[in-house]
Amino acid sequence: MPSRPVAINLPDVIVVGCGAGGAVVAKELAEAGLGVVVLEAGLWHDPAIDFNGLEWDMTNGIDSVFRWGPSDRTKPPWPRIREGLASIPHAAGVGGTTLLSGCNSPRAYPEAVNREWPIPYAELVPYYRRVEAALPVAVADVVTRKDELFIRGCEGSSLPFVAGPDVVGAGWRMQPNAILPVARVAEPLQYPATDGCTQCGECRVGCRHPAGAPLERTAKRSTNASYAPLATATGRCEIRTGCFSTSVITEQTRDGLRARGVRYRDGRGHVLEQDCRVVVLAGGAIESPRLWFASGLPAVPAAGRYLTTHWFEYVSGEFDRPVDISAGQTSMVRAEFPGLGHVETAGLRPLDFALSSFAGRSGVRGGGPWASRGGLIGNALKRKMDAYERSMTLVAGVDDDALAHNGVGLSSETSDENNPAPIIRYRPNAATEARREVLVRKAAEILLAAGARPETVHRADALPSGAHVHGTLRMGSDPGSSVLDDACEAHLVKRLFAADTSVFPNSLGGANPQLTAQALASRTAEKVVERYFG
Amino acid sequence: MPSAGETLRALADTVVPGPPDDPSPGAAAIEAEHFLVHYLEFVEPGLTERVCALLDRLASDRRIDVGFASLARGDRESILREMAEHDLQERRDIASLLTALSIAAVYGEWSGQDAEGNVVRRPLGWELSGWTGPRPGVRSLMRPVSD
Repeated sequence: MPSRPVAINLPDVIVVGCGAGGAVVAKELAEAGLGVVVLEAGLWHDPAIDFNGLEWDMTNGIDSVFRWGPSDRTKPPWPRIREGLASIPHAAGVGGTTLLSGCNSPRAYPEAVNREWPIPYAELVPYYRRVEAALPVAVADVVTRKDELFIRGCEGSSLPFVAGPDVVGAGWRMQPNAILPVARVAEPLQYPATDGCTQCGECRVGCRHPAGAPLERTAKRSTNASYAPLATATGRCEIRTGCFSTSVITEQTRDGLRARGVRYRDGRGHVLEQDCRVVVLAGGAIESPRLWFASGLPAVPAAGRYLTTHWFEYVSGEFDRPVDISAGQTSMVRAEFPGLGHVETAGLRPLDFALSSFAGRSGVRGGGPWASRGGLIGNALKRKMDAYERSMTLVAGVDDDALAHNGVGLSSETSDENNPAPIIRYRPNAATEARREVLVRKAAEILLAAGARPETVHRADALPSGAHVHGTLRMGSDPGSSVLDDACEAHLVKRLFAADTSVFPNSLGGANPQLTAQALASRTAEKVVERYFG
Repeated sequence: MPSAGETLRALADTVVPGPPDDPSPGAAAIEAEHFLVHYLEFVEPGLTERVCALLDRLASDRRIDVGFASLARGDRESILREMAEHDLQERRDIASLLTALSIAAVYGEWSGQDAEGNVVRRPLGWELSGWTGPRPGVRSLMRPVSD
């Protein structure tokens, strides 16, 4: 799939993983003149061939195109032991989980960064700007019915409009998305007559439109279509697909431990070693600590700990008129509640609508501005699905406290062909639960003010999921409570950096993590050059 | 005891019912048990047998010598809910998997696909929900030519 394949035999830098952050750091380093090899466990898909717009086939966690598992879909997925998480919808492949995300790209809440990060929010801003320009990130100028209703709901519940991108107060605003501008109507709906977002609603099942577009002009800027092509276009970056990194190779020097290469298993099962001068971990907040442990790297106290999620909650309601929630970009409007989290619209197809809105836990008690809550089955589920075209679901993402007992370890009983399986443990504290309760009520308030019929408002009682996970190799100034320094280089392993959401010291206040991971990856690339290639 | 197919058909029908318990077609109409067996075996060979044995055992705890498939709808729903709320995570996980697979069989594309995965007829869930299926774009949500 690479538009211009190159072979880098003696790389300066190896990047492990080509998702949100890995593709960014690879592109920046290659543009800086370094030779870069990216080891990616999955494939580099051709959207025109490999994406079909079908929900189950593209996104299920068992044998889909985007599952976390081997490229051979007849083989089982790679095991992950979950304790406290209902699911972990991550994708293997160039693009990583950006393949199935809505590419909502807000910045972090400044307060959350200034509270717990070793660098001030202001230091991130130039990198935000750089990534926002490169992707690009923009707000849409033609919104869907669901987003119109959301705006009505926000105004009806007296939420002010707030200007982005640096949000310090509560209010609603247009959703910044890493999606090309909405295209002009043309006949046919094919590239090049149509260039840009066609509002097809396929963001979460893999963007492949406009039809006939080259990879770089598919509308959603998941990194398979944005940063990865930019990286290989330099001629100094090789993306090796189907290559699962199994350990970081280190050596002891007079200055301490340092990384000197990566051992990996290629698509044919051969175990190979690649030397380099710097290694950047970018496999995400589960795979990066897994690789840390599997490599026997120093068992520092914070390694694998302080995992945070956004513990999504979903509130749905029915309207008197069609909403058509499958149309358009996944979310084009959002409400900000610094200190609590965010609420946004959710463009959902029928299966996604059913599983997110009505497959929550059962038996939960407690009142609120909803007529029903918990998992629905039987006639109740069918009546909700009958009303799909008149329904809307809002998603709330909460600011989650970083706790030492939440994190990633290695299983002693389960493994795949690569390494021991990761065990992911998550148990939110009372403060996170309390914030979530406030936030979900605000979501219901918006939904009701938008015109949802009160007797139809349903709260999912969703169990925590790993859709957004952060922490586990957190950055900080104190080696006793962090793994990485403020340049995202390991305190105790020189020449080993990380460039994914594992580096976050907290959950960004509840803001979607993709853009911040990319901005920080852009900054980390600069630090790599400054420290070792300047 | 009934066969695994009968047990899983009753299970899927519990999650997404059809006539006579519901006016519109449900999981039984598309023989969703085949979808469930395929994925249970994919997740773990032998899981189908274990799951069916568990469902039948929970059924016989309610009515002696009666399998899950023979229970009334209310009893089947109760068993599924009790599994979803059980103290053991493994039991909760099985309930979650069975529910999700039943919903996916109906509201995903499977019921409209041929053996090669091509959508050759309108899947039941699209019909039930009124969804028109994938589309290359939505002209009414694109910018006008003169913009």
